[in-house]
Amino acid sequence: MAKFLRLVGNEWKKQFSRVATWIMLVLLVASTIFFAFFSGLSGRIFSSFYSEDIFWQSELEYNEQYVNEVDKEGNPTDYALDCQVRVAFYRYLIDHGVSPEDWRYITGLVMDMAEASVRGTQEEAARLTAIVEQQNVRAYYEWRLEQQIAAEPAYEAIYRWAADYLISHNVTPGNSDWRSGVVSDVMNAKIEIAKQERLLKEESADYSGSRYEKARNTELLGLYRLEHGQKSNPADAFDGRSSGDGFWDVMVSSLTLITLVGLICIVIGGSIVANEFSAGTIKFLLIAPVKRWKILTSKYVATLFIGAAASVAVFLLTFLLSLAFTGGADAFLPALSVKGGVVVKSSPYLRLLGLYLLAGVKVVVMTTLAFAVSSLVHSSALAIGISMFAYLAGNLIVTILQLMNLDFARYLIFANMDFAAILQKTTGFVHHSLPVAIVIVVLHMIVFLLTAWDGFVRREV
Amino acid sequence: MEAILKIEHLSKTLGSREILHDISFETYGGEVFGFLGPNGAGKTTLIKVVVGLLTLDTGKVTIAGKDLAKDFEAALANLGAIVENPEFYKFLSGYDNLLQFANMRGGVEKERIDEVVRMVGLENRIREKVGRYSLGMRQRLGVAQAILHRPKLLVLDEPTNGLDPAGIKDLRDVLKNLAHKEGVAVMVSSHLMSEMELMCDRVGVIANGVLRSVHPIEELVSAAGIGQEEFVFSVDDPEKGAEVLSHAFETEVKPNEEGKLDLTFPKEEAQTSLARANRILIESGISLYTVSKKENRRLEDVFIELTRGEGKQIG
Ligand SMILES: Nc1ncnc2c1ncn2[C@@H]1O[C@H](COP(=O)(O)OP(=O)(O)OP(=O)(O)O)[C@@H](O)[C@H]1O
Ligand SMILES: [Mg+2]
Repeated sequence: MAKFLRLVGNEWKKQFSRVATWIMLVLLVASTIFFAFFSGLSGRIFSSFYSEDIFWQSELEYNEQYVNEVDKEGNPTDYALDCQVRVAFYRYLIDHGVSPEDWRYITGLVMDMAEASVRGTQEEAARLTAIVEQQNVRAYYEWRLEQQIAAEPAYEAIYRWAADYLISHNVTPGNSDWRSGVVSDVMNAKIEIAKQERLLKEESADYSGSRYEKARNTELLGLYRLEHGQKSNPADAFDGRSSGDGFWDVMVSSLTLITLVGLICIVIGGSIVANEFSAGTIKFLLIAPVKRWKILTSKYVATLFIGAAASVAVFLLTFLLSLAFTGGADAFLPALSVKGGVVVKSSPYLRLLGLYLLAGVKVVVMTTLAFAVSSLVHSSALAIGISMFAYLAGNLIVTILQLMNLDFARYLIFANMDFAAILQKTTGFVHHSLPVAIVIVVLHMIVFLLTAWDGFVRREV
Repeated sequence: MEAILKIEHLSKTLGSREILHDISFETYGGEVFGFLGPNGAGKTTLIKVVVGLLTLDTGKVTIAGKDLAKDFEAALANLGAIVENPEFYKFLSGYDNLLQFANMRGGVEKERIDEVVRMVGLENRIREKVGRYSLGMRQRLGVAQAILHRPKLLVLDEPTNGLDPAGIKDLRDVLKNLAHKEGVAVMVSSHLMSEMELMCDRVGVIANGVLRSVHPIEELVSAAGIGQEEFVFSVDDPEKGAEVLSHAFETEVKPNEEGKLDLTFPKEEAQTSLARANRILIESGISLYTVSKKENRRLEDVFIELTRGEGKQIG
């Protein structure tokens, strides 16, 4: 075993003494930084350079030109009224130094006030002006509740629940307090539930069990978070929604970089045997008192080690960058999900690790292909070329066959390497099952490894 | 003496051609065994079989008592070798290359690496990348690599290829030392007889895949007439001259096709023997026209004779 590890160490040393290896790793690191920056962080960073209020003055001046527009009868046109509303809106913002982060601006309250002052009753205008001026949160919620009930009387209880919660917990409107968004999600979920229950009772064809289920889950998760004060749910990032301060959005986006790790593995796996032949060093390798299959295995293991090390590096670098950019308040929150009607907690790190491993399946299979071709034909160019093509074009080939309605494509190796997609049933084949995919992958691996063995161990040099 | 390398009835076919045919011989610890043959004779092929790069079709190769086919790792643990040109990882330093070999074998200490580097005279350049080495330096690194783990059998395929005269002498000394002082069995291949003469204790001659003969080097040297001087006497009565000279020098002397007499004397007595032959002829009443010294038969002639017919036509 110690001897075998020394062999792996030899291979490792050789790879890391090559300039090509370092160039690939530098590119990987650069891509990781680029990715971390652009997946969720860029918006945050740019918004600190740019603020919406820089346009307010010019908007005001532009709208002021049309406030006096009249039609043939001498009445102000609709457009003139719109402009009057906007003028009132921007003038108030500018005159009172309202910031773009102010809840009165974000919730649209200032706009409602401007609207009322132009088109509404005097009484309503006065009421809204008072709320805005006093920054009266409670009065705002009460006014909004009235509006909601007037629009949809059927959901009065739901609206009332939301307003009560917001008022009693002193939740600032807008997006500065996370509870505001959660309450609104729960409220909408409750409405959806009520709607679906009604449809069910009416035995309507519009009833959707999955929408009902989804709304139930949203409600449960929201209520759980409100109760336990969990300001964001990392699980959202895994489901493609942005979550909290973006920490987990960045972490999940790092999965894309495994594709790049795969390219590096293919280049190394496709050359680690062939290079010995082209440089003539194979003779010195094979006259060592080590059985050939051990030498071959040490090369294979070294290649996969480098891939694993590169993945760990991507993960750690992304973690540090994400921590630095977001402050990492979300880094240690549990992921929440609903299972069997109850909220369960899980580690988002484990979940991410699982996705890394699933993504690694394709990398390992394609690297093994490169390895096999390389020890069969002793040409790194051919091995890398074939495997890169399979790696990058495999999905496209499957998609084309799917479009041609050729169902046998489901048995191609290219259609069976993305275990995550198979689990999520997003491969486009009906009844695409994981066990079948595993069997197909294992069979291919056996063929590839036997080919590599045959090309290297039994060949006369 | 202990046989370190034992080859029994080895045959090897590559493609449809039989490259080696029924070869058997042994080499012993403490001797340098030379393997002599023209281009394409099968020297490299034989060495490749011995070092495990090629498998044999029939026969048996034993290294230090271990059967190569059955006990691959144990047999090769006793072997150091250079096959054809020494190729190394160009992007690693000479030292790192040696470390690679040390790691593959185990049991090689840092001190041993330094010692070997000194032995082949590379200590000033060993930290440089091999990509910048000359052919001779790579050859020296090849030797260092081969002896690193103190093998009992050292196999070198044309090791002087690319070395300068000083390098050739150094290598000769290293190999002789290893064999004669440390008891290593050294086997070198070459197609230069003169090189063999200076280096080897025994020489096996191979031609067209067949081992023709194995000779102690002294035998070849004397066959080549080195250390003797040959003279040609031209006389008026060859028959009578042959008779008296045969009698006087206790060897058989006969007139050759041209009617002249050939006589060979050991080098150190050449002058006195010549004078004596002169005297005897005159005393016997035979007129001597001329005496001329014959050129030595060169080692290369012996080599060509031994491999006759095979060297001219690369088979
Ligand atoms: N892979 C192969 N397939 C078929 N024939 C081969 C192969 N390798 C070598 N040969 C042939 O085997 C014969 C012996 O070759 P080998 O290299 O052993 O000769 P050698 O004695 O080392 O010659 P040299 O002095 O030129 O190095 C040659 O005729 C060669 O053409
Ligand atoms: Mg040769």
